[in-house]
Formats: sequence, structure tokens, C-alpha cells
Amino acid sequence: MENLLELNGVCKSYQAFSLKDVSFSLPAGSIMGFIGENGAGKTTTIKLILNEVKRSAGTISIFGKDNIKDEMAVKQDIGAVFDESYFFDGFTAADVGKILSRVFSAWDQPLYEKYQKDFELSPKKKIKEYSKGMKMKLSIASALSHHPRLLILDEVTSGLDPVMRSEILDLFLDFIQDEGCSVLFSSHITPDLERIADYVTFIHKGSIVLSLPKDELTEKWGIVKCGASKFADLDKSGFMRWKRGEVECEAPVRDKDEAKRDYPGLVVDNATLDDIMLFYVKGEKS
Amino acid sequence: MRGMLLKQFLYLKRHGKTLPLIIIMIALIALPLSASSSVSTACSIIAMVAAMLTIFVMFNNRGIDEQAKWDTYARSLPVSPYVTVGSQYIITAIFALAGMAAQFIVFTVSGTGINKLAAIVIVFTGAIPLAICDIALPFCYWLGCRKASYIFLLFCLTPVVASFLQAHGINPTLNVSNQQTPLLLGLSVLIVFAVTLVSLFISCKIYTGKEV
Repeated sequence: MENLLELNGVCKSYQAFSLKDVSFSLPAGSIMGFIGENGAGKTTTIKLILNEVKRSAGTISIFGKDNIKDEMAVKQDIGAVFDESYFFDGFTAADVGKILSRVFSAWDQPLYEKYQKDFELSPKKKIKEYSKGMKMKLSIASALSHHPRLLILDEVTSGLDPVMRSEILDLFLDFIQDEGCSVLFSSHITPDLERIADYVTFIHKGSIVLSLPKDELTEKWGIVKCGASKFADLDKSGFMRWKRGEVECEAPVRDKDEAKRDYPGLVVDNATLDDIMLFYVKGEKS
Repeated sequence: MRGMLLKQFLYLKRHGKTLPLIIIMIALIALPLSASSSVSTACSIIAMVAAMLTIFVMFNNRGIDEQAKWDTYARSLPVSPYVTVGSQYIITAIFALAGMAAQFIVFTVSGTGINKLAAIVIVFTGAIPLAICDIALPFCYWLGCRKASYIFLLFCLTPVVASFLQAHGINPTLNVSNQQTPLLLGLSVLIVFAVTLVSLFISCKIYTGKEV
């Protein structure tokens, strides 16, 4: 399967934070959930992909082209939506359409008008009169109306109510029905990603912890649970991380069936994205 | 470029009510300051309106970009930094050129014709505000509009400096012959053009160097 996005050994250093050796790839026709706690490096990675900040090392390839050398050509096929609206609040949806129709060569005005109608965005209403959800819908409509192949979303569902979030997630699922399109969806709302993502990439303190198909995570990974005294006696070499409570201890495992065989008599539950994220952020390691 | 320029014009359209008000206010201020002759009155008003409007448009449009954090979004679009930043320079140049055109019309319609003085007035009506914007814009990209506006205030000290020099008997005058006038005016235009290019280059460097 063709990769629409590939990052190899990407590094970026700031005084207080650095992104270290970030590598992952996004196949065509899929949605990748990009998760991590606040400040883990999700937005920095997205800015590097969009060449909004300069990378210190590594390569980023989009549609097989370098994201810096072929920046303008590549960006014609990218739709980017951020966590806030960057349009002047005195503009209307019609104004935004007029500007972007002159920016994107493949701008589809009837499609933009269809999105406005579907999202109930009045073309004459000023953006300052929109709710947060409406502003987000406008950003999504403007990102989709030039038929992008890659959609980059940075925390777009944060602060939206469940109904609005559900509508927006359905839209992204529709978008990848065309198998030549993909979505990189950064979020810390893991239930959203559990619903729509095909792949999950987890970044923690500027490093990629894991990048794999979501089904592998939700179907194969598990959480071993046992009492504190029993946990103290266990060989922990098979555990990446663990949480030690006064009564109960928990540890994630990559293969829950194997864990059931290796630790007979212990409870092995299914793992959620939240569980895995929490273990890496809060858990102990050997 | 068309998209970025349209955005600049749409910013102005959204201030549609404010702009004519500003023009009338400046005209009212300029009226008693201007000389008694009707042509020179019109020229003074136009020069002042053109200068104030050009500078207002520059600060206004850049200020809106800053407030909306437009640069973060613009950097995700297939638009080169020279186009994004260049549109800001073009909109200011359009207003400066409009002032020059208005002066030209006044001189032509009034029957005064384009003599040496008229040519100087026309060129400097555009050149002075444009040069001010050329100096201010890199500061706007570097420090932001609010801080850059403090630097702009320094330009307001020019009349004070002129008065100070006059009070101390320093009164530099340039005696230009009729033959030298076209050459000097052409040179002024070239200098302003060169300053604009250098300013655009610096602003672009600041824009691309900034990590949004």
C-alpha cells in the first residue's frame, strides 16, 4: 500500500523540549490517530510536516515528495485544520471561499457551498457570530473543498459537544472512502480515535512510543491485574510499564493471550488507548 | 497572489464605514492648515489623506493578520512567503499610488499643469508614505504591530526636529534647476523602489524565520 506520509528520523530541538527521531508512515486510505499528552510533541510534529517550523534532522515525504523542496505542489493536496479558527472574525464563510478559491487550483466552489448548506453555515453571517463548533465546521469545509488527498487535523474535536464530534468524525470516515486519501488526526480524546482510526501513533516526551494498527492495540494488547503482594513476586521483565497501587497493580502487555498463558490465575483485561497512554505517562518502568 | 490581495481588500471592505470617516476627518484637519489658494489646498489635503491612509491601511491589515493568527494558517497554504508578505506591500503601494493619481488629477483639472513644483508634489505624495511603510513593515513582522507603532511615533518627531534646526539657524535648502528636477525625481522614485525591495526581502526573512 502506498504511503501518503512518511517521517524518518525527524528531530527538532527547542530549549526546553526536543523531538527525537520521530518516524512513522501513514498508508493511503487510512486514518491515523496521533495521540499523546499535552506537550508531548503532536503539534510540533504537525508543524514540521507543514514546514511551519524547520526540522533539525530527518526527512519528511508527502505523496513521495519532500515536504520542503516540493512544498507548494504538496500543499495543493493537503487540507489542514487546527484547534482554532485563523480567519478574521469580520469575514463571512463566503469571504473565506473567495480567498481560498484563488489559493487552491482545485477549489470546488459548489462543494464548498454544499458543505456550508450541510453544516448550516450561513454564507452571510460573520465568523464572530459563529459558535466554536461552527467555526470548526467552517475550517473543515474550507480544508475539504479543494479535494485534498491528505487531511491533517490538530485537536479539532477538543471543546466540541458529543453530537458535533460525532458529525465531524463521520465526515472524516466519508473522506477516506476514496482510498487515495488519508487523515492524520492528532487528538488526546482517545474514544474519538478508537471509533475512526485505522492506525495509532503514540508520542511521549518527543519520542514515538508506538505506531501500529489500532486493531492490534485493542485486540491483542491487554492489562494484567493482580494484588500488590502477588505483583511483588512476579518477574517484571515482560512488562514495559506498570502501575503499583496499595491494593492492586496493573501492567500492560503486548499479547494478552500470551500473558494469560504466562501468568495463569491473573486477570488479563482488554486495553484501551487511554490505558496505554496512562501507563506510559504515569506508570513506572524497570 | 490574487487570493492574498483579495484578503487585503476584504479587510478594508469590512472597515467600509470607518475609511470614509477617516478621510473626512483628515481633510477637516488639513483644511485650516493649508494655504489660501484652492489648488494648494486640495494638494495639501490629498497629500495628508494619502499619507495617513497608506499608513493606516498597513497597520490595520497587518494588525488583523496578527489578531487572527493568520500567519499560522497561511503557512499551511500553498502560498510562498513572498506572496503572503508581498500582498501587504502591494496594498500599501496601491494607496500611495492612488494619492499620486489624485494629485495628478488636481493639477491637470485645475489647469496648473505639471510644472516642477507639481511633479515634486505628486512624487512625494506617494514616496513619503511608502518609505515610512517600508521602514515600519519589517518592524511589524519582527516585533508585532503594537510595538512597531511606537517606532512609527518617531516619525512624528520630524516636524519637531525641523523646528529645532530652524531655530538654530540650520535651514537646509536644495536649489534645483528645472533641468535637474526630472533627474532628481526619477532618482527619488528609484530609491523608494529599492528601499521597498530591501524592506520586502527583510520582512520575508523575518516571516519565514519565525516559527509560528
